[in-house]
Amino acid sequence: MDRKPWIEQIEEIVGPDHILTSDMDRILYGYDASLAKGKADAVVLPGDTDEVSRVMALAHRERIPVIARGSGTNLSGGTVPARGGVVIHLSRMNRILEIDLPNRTATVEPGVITLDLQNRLLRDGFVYAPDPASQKVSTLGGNLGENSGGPHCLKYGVTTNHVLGAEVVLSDGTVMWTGGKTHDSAGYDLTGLLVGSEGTLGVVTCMILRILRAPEAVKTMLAVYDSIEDAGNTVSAVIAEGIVPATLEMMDRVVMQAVEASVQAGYPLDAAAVLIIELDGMVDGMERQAQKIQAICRRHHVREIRTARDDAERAKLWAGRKGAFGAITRLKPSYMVGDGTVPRTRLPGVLKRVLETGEKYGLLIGNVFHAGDGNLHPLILFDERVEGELERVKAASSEILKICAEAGGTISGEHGIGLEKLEEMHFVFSEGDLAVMRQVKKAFDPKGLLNPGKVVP
Amino acid sequence: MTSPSSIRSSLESVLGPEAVRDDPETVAAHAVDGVPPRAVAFPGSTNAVAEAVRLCQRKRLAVIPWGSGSKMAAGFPPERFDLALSTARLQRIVDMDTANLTVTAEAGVRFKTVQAALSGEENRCYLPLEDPVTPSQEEICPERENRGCFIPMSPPHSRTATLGGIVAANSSGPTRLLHGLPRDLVLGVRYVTPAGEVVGMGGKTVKNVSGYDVTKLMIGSQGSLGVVCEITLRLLPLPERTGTELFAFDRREAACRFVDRVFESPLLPSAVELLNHRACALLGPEELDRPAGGTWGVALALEGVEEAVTRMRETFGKMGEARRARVRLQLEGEAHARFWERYGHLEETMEEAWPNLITIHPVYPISEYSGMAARVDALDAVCVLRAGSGTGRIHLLPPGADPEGPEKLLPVVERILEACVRTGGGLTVERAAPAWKARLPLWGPEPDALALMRRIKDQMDPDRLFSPGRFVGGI
Repeated sequence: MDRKPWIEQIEEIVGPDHILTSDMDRILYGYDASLAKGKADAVVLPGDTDEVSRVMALAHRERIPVIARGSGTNLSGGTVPARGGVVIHLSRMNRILEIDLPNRTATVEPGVITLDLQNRLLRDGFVYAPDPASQKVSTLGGNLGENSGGPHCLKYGVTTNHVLGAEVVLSDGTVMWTGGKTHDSAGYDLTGLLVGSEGTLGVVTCMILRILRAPEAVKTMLAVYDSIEDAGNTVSAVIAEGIVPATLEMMDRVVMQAVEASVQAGYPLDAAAVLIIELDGMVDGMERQAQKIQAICRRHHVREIRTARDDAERAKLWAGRKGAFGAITRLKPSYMVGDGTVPRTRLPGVLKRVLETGEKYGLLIGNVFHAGDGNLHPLILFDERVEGELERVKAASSEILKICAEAGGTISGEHGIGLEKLEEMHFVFSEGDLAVMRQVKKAFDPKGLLNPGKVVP
Repeated sequence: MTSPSSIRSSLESVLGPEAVRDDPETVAAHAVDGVPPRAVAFPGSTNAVAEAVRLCQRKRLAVIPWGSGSKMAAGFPPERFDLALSTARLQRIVDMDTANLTVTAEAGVRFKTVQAALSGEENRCYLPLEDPVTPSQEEICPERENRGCFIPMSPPHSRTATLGGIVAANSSGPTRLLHGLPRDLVLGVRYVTPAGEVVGMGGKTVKNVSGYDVTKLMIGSQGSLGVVCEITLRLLPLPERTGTELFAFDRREAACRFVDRVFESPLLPSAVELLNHRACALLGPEELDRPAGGTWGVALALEGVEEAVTRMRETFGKMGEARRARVRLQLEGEAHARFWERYGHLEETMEEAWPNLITIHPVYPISEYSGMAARVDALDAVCVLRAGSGTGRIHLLPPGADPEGPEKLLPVVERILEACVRTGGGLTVERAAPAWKARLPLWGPEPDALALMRRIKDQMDPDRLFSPGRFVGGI
């Protein structure tokens, strides 16, 4: 392998144990949970902000692309080193630096696993609300980069609503803070820009998160339907009745069958769809709200409603939902997951067109999604070894995003644009809109070295 | 230098004669920090705004966007000011989609106008209109108990504030405790860039990570990056029940301990406000501040389902009793609405008596509220602290007849700033007479990322035409 001269300089910064340059490693860090692939020139595992800053200053001098990554669970090619360069893997920066209960903040390094923080907080009766399905593996830095969502975002908002401040290293190695422990800061909302920027504006090395008191009571219900339209109409009806539950999740038959084969969550195999409806908050009036929801379900021909009686039952109902993406590979070796989002009243119509698109391209599509906030995740199943199948999958996926855009929605709710949806950006943004985004990029990263070729076409 | 009449005539040629004014009265009414513009434009659509901005771009005219003017006293005096770009004719509520819990309206619409329209909105049928075929149609729109929606905000200047102004200032009030800031509630904006291009960011969905979140950049940018013309906001269904609990304590410490207990409980009030005695006197029913002086009040806003509000009333009542609250008042219905309406109009209430007051928006980590209260105790000020949100408003009152009066307030502001900075916070001065501005820390301490903020301004408004010199660091 041609050993680049700057590799030695990086070794001096992070130590020889924390740089990977073998062919195998460079390929291993070349992909994420999407279908895109690339190859890194080197993988660096810095131990602190100063090392990140020095590595980035060096990359800046040498004009080498820099790609920050956490666990690589992202679903749109966001951490794929499309143009080579240095992958900065932040897994060693995984300390929870402070939990400040009186001020309701947690200060963490970006490599902390989402669930680790959540479990730690629960000991004190607090929660960090965003709960992406990948939370067992995903890092908080990655969540920030992708503005991750999750089932509970219906009530609590997405990652951006829970990040108060960030220490960021800019492409030339400059370190600065945006925001802080307070909820208002004078000046432009740079934290708001960094969240969801997929590592193209800076590398966040420390973050201050907003934490909330854990809800006093939780009630989880599973509603089983014989028709997907009935399930969809229930979702809109619940909101129209003035109830905003903590979650409103939907799964169709294809996904349920895969889930049952994998984690045995107890979903009925012959049903067309299920909804997971969860209420949380103060215990008072919750039972009445639940009954109101059940009445709405019945009006929409629900076959059966199950209510979790305890935490174990609740965990079981959720296990299937959280494991859905993984389970789906039991049906076919590969899948491509969509992330289109539409105003929730458009869901039933859009869902129908999604299934029609699958039929048109001869592809099996499973649906598991955050129905309450109109965020679809069609899983297009396929086998990469079948010639021409990947092309059909990409065409179908793009067509589905077009359907979402036309329905007044957008092309990504929580997975980001990355490499996979660059072309589709034109479905929702004009050249003028994109020009503004390019100005943002230029202000942060004038040389275009951070995660090049992503987000903005 | 372009003469006033030529500004007017060139604007008239693109906007029409009815949309441009340069008579002395109109111009004076749109002065910023005593600096009058040379003309005022009243474009009637987003495209007309873009036309006006393109003209300013060609002629290098400095522009300040103008809503109702309620927050124009914040910021440095403008370096240049040629045209006030009023949103007064951007008055359309574009889309009231209560089934999706979103509303889209033009920037000049007053907050209270949209709020009123939403609360009476009956059309909550949620069927997808393009696809009305469903066998059980009659069952889909059942008799509904819920009557309407609301924008979960409680901004200051609530009688006059426009949506555009609230967004441009990220302006928030008491219920931010439960519902968050405008940055959490604005889903999308359409705005005109300094180059005169109409751009749209965000959309109608709560989840959206398509490209950079430029909406966040525009929120709180104080008119320095363009003119926000159309805004999409997240709504909530009107709660089943609302109400207010008011308490008065003889001692500040007791009031703070009461507030601490409220936060230790699993209950979820939508606002917890700590009021000094002058604020009690101005806002509350008479009983709240009697005998006057020394009192600290606590106002709790409650909303939710019937059972939850009832429990909060009971529990908070007991907590107040345990801390020897001198007064407890329970407001409901009209009285509840009127109390918070007065709250949103507080600064205007004081304007007449104290035209030279200084309004400070302190920012501190939320647990520091009691220290902030202690600091305010000795001041002659009307003060409301937003416990649980790490902010509030302090209106410093200049001693009446003393011409040097205002002078004496300047060190007070400095001391409050120091206290906030020590805790990791800061402050902004939301209102002060132009003459003192040069000596006040208007935006608090210099942000760590100021250099990056300047680069953003340079990229987006390279000719520095939008609100030049007014924002943080003289951006």
